[in-house]
Amino acid sequence: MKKNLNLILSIFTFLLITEVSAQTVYFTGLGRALVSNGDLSDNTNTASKLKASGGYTLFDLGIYAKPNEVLRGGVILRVKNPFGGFYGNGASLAFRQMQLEGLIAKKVKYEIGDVYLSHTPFTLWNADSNDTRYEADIFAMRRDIINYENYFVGNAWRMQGFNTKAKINFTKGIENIGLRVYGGRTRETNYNTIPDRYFYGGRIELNQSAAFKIAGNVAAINDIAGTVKNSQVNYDNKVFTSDFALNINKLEKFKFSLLGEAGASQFQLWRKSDSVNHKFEDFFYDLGLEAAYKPLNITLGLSYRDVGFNFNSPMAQTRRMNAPTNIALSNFGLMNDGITARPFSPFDPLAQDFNLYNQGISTTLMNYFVQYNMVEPYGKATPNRRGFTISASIKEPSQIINADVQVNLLSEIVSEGDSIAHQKREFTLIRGGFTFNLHKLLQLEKVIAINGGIRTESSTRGSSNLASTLIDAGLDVEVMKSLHLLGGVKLFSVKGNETQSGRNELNQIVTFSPLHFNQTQNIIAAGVRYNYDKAGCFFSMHYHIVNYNDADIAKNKYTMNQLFFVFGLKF
Amino acid sequence: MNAIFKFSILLLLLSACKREKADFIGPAYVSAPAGFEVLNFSASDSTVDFTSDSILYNATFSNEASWILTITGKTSGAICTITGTSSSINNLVWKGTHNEVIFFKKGEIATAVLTFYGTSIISSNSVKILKTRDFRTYGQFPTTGDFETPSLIEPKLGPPKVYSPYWAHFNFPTPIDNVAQGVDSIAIDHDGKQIDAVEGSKYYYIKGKGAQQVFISGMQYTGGFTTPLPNTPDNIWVNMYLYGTGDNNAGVEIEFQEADETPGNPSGYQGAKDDAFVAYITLNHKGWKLFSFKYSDLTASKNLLFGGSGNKIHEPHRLKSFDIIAVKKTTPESAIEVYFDFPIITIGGPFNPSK
Repeated sequence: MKKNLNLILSIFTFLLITEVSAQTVYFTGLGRALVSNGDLSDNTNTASKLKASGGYTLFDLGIYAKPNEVLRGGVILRVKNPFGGFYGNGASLAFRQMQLEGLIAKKVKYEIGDVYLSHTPFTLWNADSNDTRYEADIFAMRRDIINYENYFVGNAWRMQGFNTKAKINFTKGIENIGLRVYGGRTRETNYNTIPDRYFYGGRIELNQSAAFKIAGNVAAINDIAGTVKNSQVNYDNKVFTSDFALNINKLEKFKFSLLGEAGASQFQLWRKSDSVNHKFEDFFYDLGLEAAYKPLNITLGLSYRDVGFNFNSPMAQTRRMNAPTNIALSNFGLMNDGITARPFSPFDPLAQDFNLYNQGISTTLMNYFVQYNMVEPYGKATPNRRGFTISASIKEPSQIINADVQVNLLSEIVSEGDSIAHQKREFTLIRGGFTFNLHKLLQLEKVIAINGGIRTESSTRGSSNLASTLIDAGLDVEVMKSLHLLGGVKLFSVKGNETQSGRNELNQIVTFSPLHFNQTQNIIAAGVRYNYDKAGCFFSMHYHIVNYNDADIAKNKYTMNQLFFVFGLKF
Repeated sequence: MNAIFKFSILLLLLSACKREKADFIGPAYVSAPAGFEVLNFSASDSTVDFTSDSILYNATFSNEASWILTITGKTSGAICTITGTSSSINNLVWKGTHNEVIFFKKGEIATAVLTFYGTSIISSNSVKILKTRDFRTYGQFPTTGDFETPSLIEPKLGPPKVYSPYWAHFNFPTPIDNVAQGVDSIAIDHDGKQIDAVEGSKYYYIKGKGAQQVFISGMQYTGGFTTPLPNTPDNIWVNMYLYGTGDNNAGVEIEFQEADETPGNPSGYQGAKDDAFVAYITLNHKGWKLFSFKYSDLTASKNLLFGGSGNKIHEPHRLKSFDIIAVKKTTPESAIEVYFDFPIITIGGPFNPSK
């Protein structure tokens, strides 16, 4: 702590000194005070509800120095004090982010340090496997905090490394060629048996015109076995892909596109335990057509995807959420007089339980909650999937309504576990939603917005089937200037049988565990939000009621209530 | 035309990619068909003494299906899982073994639950464990290595001061500042969680910051072994259960000490003349975990006064004693906690209590 403080003060002093000679030094900040107070009623005496409260205050100070037009350095320092930590007791000081960025020869942009990287859905991609696009603002506000705390920005992974980009423009034939190279370290050696593990990737993109572009991509992870004397493993994974887009935009009202990505993975792992170099190769393709009606911004799409069962792309297949076996709920983790682990509910991902999330790349497919993600647990790059995706969306220009729907009709490519009939699972995933800005239709200044979403999944093989539905609905009414009344519900149900596969370090399935569900899990929430400005300063207060029912396991039933206050500051 | 040419190259590249042919992947299983029923499920007895007896399970189903028999200890949470695919279970033997980390406990109820793929039908029955299986016979087990008898393990502070006949404690007779160590059964870890023994009801702990930068304290097993180990370091494993709190600063070094008996070197291990081979462990896991090391993979000590002066040859037949030492790995000013249980040396493979 003292070392950290000294280091932070040194950097701060350095930056202040730099200000003398620098052309620009500027600051950004994000502050948050958050308090929650909850209770839980389980199957024991309801007169003695479990109660808990917690929270924290934090401030992230961003200090950026820009000595000239082509170089910028920045650091974000965090001070955090837990709720109840009087006079700084329990307070912590930490670096949240350090980064240098600049431009070489006016052509090559680079970033070094903590970088946010995304590439394509099959190479490097932080997929959000839970549909959250149409959840109510009252839930989205809490999820934004989770995403910020876990460095989830869009589909990027936050990594330590570098990222460089360059573009070469041409005067005829083709418009430009874009180049990108990135890399870094995903795992540190233990100087004995575990070698350093590095990642790298790149893209070369040829833009012929707005009508056609094609790109080649590589994303790889390697162990540097020589970094330790007694290496137990030597991991090597490479993914090569190519993506393209062909646009026909010559009609006044219509635009047509042919687009897709295809590629292959090569994975090998040498293990000291068996002295064998295990090798796996597989491929994927995802090809689609899109047609857009420009006046109303309506888009229809149809695509076909085939992702092999040994397709292995860790940086695209790593999950945001930790594997269930690695999750110990800190918010009412035990119930029924401390003898039953509280079952996970859709409220938990919103409940500021930070150990739920993962920020590192996993080279094996992580396990997941089958009931919430049976079809695409690893996003588009989910292995052993084949089938059609049909989509439609509207973003009409006056922004009165935005809506989309996507239907995925997929199946396994190879049967998992059926040695007799080789029967494959059939999957259906339908997701969609809308945002209806009623105030724009009525031409009112104050906001009246309604949103709704649905996600329904099913998995069927013979007599086994599992189906789940998640319904989201939300309301945002600005009753006075900047004062919003918020409401939201999440209604989740799941019923049926499935199996959960367990994999070894070679990513091969080695176990199947039967699972049975007959549950409903609901959240009802209401609250207010006052916006001090449009930059992100606000105060909000919510009340959430969570009901968890398990028709087959009575002891798992519980009701949880939570009062939640948050004050946000941003500049 | 140009675009078609490039697209063709893409398809050509794609056709060069390989995919292994397979009819199915993963272990084979058969889902229960519609109308599936469990016609009966029984255990051979309602109580069992695993030192001399075992339990036999029998069941009959309406159809062939893959089944999972999960036996769970009500107190310990120990689990034994047995799987199969059949239309009946005939005299399936359970000898008190377990698959996961925790051992079954004496006196507890063990509930066997039958589940199937593709149906929510379950069937169960229970037995009471009068005595648990004796896993000490699975290898060379140090006397009192289960830490169940504190009077034979902990020294008596006196007066008079009395040494344990089997263990030498580094904080006795001269105490080490900021160290507590001994046998416990209900210790509370750094996270406020009560630690139950992985085996039996007790375990050994070392806690504190110690008086040095790295070393905290430790203990040495001096009780000897009933028979010498064979001189096959590639075929011998050293095993021990260690409890972790996810603290990267908490480390354990287990030193296996050989008496090299080179000319002029008296019988018995001497730190300044003989070999010690070390397993280095960081306790950055949570809960109990079994650590197993092949003897030939142990690292020769580099400390000339403590095991770094021998012939550097792995000679398990010369093993005389071993140390369990708690160390700080990253932060000298922070205290750590170490809990361990059931050290055992096995021949032919790592300790496997599922067999």
